[in-house]
This record gives sequence, structure tokens and C-alpha cells, in this order.
Amino acid sequence: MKKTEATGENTPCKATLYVESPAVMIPPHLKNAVMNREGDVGATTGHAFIGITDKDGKETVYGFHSAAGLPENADITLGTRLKFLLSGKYDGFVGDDSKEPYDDKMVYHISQKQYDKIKAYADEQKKNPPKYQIFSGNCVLFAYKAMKQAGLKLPPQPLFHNPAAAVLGIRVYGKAQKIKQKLGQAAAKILGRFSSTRKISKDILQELKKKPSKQAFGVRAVTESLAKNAAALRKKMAGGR
Amino acid sequence: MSKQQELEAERFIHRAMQYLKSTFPEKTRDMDDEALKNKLIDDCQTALEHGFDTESDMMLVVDFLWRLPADYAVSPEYEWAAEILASADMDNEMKIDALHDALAAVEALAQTENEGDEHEED
Repeated sequence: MKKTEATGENTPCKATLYVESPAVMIPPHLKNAVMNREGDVGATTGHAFIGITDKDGKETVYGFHSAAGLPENADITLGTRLKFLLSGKYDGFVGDDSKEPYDDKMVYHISQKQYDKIKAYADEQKKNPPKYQIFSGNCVLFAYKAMKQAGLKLPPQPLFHNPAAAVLGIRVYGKAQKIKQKLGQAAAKILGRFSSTRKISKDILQELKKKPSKQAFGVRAVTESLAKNAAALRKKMAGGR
Repeated sequence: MSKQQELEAERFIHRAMQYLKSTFPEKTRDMDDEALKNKLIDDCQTALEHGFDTESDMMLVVDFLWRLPADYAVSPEYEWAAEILASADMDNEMKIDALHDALAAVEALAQTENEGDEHEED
């Protein structure tokens, strides 16, 4: 489990990102080592959900699912299920995931205000759930969007949001944050040195490629050149006397 | 193209070359100025093709591309870079953030795997 440090002055509440590893990320001999995964639908794809704990220690857990997971849809064939999942035609629902298993979690200490923001978002999504779409509207995206309401730094997600990436994200979080920080410093340097309004066109770039490289004339080059010219002029004048 | 634009673009390329030399000394050491300029312009064109048209936006992409292995464009491991750059759902700021996120994750994962290998060797 990774735990973040409190950054605010008053952070009596908590927000937790829970992730269940997809089956492919667990060596077969360890499949049931942490918990029994037989018959657990989420064990194949993995799952992500969130919990928010109020100042009295009461946790409310929210998770986004496809309606395909509901008991009344148990008879739908796998082919139809997959087609619906990919096309985004499946209804989604936000449920109470307090009994859901998980392998990794990340705990954030948050303020009351941050707690309220996450709760408001999660409750709204529960009331008006979006369609479930495997790449752009899945459990991880819901969890991330909810946590982002509080401005939390979340584990990196290469490509689309999915449980596998979230699991990896949590496991490499510390290292990835350090690398991201370095990249952020480089970006800040660039934003400080280069214009954010001046545009460079394709034509100009093509023209510049044709031209041979030349030394740019900065202030130093110009002063050096003037000094050289002045010295030559003085020498000439002295010789003429 | 006006003389003013041409001069500004030349100054931009010059400053960008200085930036690359100071940020990536190992990669630029064996390149002469002509080769460096041409690679820089190629990378700027890649940035431009994906909607990064201001000096700073272009340099954010250039800086990112220089952090990838030389064969990134044909390496399946780095397909995500082209996919993010071409994404129609993200603006430039989001794309840079996503590229940095992905690179950070890939590098962190590689570090973790290397540490694992070292432990296995022990």
C-alpha cells in the first residue's frame, strides 16, 4: 500500500484509490494467495474504485460498473457483452463497492472541502450514471475523475485508463513522480525561454532547412565586431600619421 | 514570409540548438551544427503536424522527443507517443501532460524491473 503525506494544514478526511489487479498481472501460483478470486468477475479485467472517509472515520465506497455486471444481465453472451462494452451502449451504474476485493490502494489525506468535492461528484454520478465504455468511460476513469475533483496527484496512466495501468501506476508511483517532476522542470525552463505567442510556420521551417547554419548575431557578437572594427580603424589612423 | 519573421525564426532555431546542447550534452556532442539544426527542424515539423505551432509548444514536443530512444518511431514500446500526439480529444497542454505521464511511467517501470533483475541475480 502506498500512502501519501498530508500537504494541507487541516486534513481530517481521507480519499482512497483501490485497485484490483487484472488476472494477467498475477502469477498463476499466487492467484488465490491474497484472496479467493474464483468466480470474481473483476479478477479478469481488474477493477478500480474509491473510498472517502469523513472526519469521524466513516468510509463511503463508490465504484463504477457496466450494467453487464448486474444479475439480471447474467445470461447475455460474452460476444454481445463485449460488443456493448466497446460501443458504449451499456448503461453504467455507480454502486457501493465496500465489499469489493483489492490488491493495491493509495490513501490521500484531504481537507473537508476536498472531501465534499469528491462526494458531490460521486453522488451526482450515482444519480445520473454515464454510459459505460471500456476505454473512455470505465471504472478507472470514474475513480480518477472523482479524485481529480479534489486536485489529487494520481498514479500515471499510460494510454487509456485501465486497471492494469492503475496497478502499475500505484506500484511505480514514487519513481514516476520524481521523473515527472524533472520533466516538469524542463517544461518550466522551456516556457520561460521560448515565446508562447510567436508562431513558426511550416514554410519558414522548410526555408531554414535549406539555408546553411550560421552564427547568430547576439549583443556580444555585435560588440566584439564593433570593437574589432574600431581597433582596425585606430591602427589605420595611427599608421597614416 | 517577411524578413522580420525569418529573423525571428532563425533566432528561435539558434536558441533551440543552444537549449538542446545544454540539456542533452551526450546526444549532441557528436553532432555538427548542420546535423543538429536539421534534426531540430524535423522535430519541429513533427510538432507542427500535431498542432504545436508556437515556439514554446514546439519546444515542449522537441524536448520530449529527445528523451525517447532514437528508434522510438518504429518501436512498438513507444507507439503510445504517436497515439497521444495524434489524439483528437486532448488540447496541447493535456497532450504534453499525458506524454510526460506515460514517459514517467515507462521509465519508472523500467527502473523497477532493473531493480528486480538485480535482486534476482543476487
